[in-house]
Amino acid sequence: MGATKSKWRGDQLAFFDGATYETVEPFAPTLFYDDFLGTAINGDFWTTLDLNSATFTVPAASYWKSSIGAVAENSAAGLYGKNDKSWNIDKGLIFECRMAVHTAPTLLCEIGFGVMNDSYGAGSQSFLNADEVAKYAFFGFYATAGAGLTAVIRTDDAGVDSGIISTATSVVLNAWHVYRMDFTESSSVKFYIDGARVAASTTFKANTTANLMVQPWLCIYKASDVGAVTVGEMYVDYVRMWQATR
Amino acid sequence: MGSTRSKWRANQLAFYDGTTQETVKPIAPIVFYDDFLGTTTNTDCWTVIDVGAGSTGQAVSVLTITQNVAGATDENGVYAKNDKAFNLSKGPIFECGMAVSVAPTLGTEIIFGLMKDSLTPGAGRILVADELLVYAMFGFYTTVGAGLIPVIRTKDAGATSAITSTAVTAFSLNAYHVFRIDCTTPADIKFYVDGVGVATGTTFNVSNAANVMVQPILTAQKVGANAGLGIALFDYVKVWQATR
Repeated sequence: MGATKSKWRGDQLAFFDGATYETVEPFAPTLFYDDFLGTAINGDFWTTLDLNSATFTVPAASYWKSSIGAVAENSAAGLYGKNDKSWNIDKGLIFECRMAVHTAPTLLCEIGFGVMNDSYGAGSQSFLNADEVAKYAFFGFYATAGAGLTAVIRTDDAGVDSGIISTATSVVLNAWHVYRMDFTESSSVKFYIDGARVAASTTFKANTTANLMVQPWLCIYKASDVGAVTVGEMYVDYVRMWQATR
Repeated sequence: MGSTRSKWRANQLAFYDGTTQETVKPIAPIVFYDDFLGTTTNTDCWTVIDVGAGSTGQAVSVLTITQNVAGATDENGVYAKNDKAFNLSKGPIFECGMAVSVAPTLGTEIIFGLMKDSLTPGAGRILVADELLVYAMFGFYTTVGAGLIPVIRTKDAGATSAITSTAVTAFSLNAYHVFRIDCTTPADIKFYVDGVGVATGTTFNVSNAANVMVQPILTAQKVGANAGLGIALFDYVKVWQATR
């Protein structure tokens, strides 16, 4: 058990777990938190993706699973925020989740999670193998980086595309990690894994458009031209989002 | 960005935003909080009022209550399912972020706060008509500041306050403000707008009966054939209570 510690981010107080670096209590005016307790997804907030041969497994033991099907077709499984873009990246948004790779993605399968201004479009969510999302900030995993076990980052605000940037952090199958993206400065978005800043030498810009509104997105997916042997599975334990001002 | 600050209210700690004065984290045994995230109103906690041609909708973290022009009874908003979970004798505090998007005209009134009454459609007004029995609310109606200066009214079975202006500068349309009703002392409940005490020259007394149970309500309404308008935007609601 980690000791409770506190930190001022900007001018705002937050308590965090000193071992895992999970932010357990941010003191922010707007806060969303889903620990996926119970056995159903909160449909007031999330849209569940369970497209074609992908599989979304409803929560059990406080986490959910989504996997890609071994069928040569477009498929996707995960959650997004109902295309209700409630979060403003110019107002100090922070996105955090705890996630594990259960089966490393192969071929053109991708795991992506973070926030996006786009509405969901079936078959057009690839941001690593193809840059199909217009405005977003995601962590991701795909076969090209560390055989699907090295986390990468990509941001695109329709003005600046970061390209695919490795975090240089490799994970072990089924190992949980805390991923955080901090938009306190939208001209230089910061990314953290288990409390340690990653890709620190890259400036991730998300300020081409002021007051860009975004929704959360956590998904595994592939396009229809992927071979039948493609696999990949992700687990998600919780999602927290908070914003420094309304 | 407001800095996090803390304050002891009575004997209880609360963290608040030093700029907006919003209470971001009350440390209390009972806390209800709805930020209206998602696109579906949480009907585990709220009953949606939908009488007449107006509407109640939720998107982009805002609950929007709209009164239409149709000349008939029109009542919209949310109330807590007539489940009166908060005890006026145990120090509940009601707080919300709210903006007037279209100022109420004619017979329309926008009201929000706590009430003991169960909701009766067509009989829930406190400003244009005094139809509730026990309540403590903020409100807007056309008589004061052309619908852009909030007023206060409270009532219990022993005392009814007059409609009391907060005397703040008339609000701009769509400008959010933080409204707080502090019932720590039921014989003298306090009202705040953006952290500043308002109507402080009036004693609002709801202590006539002990242990009166209340529910939150956010509504815009009018009764009968008039063409009143009004749109209210609610960003969040918090209700917390000092003891169980």
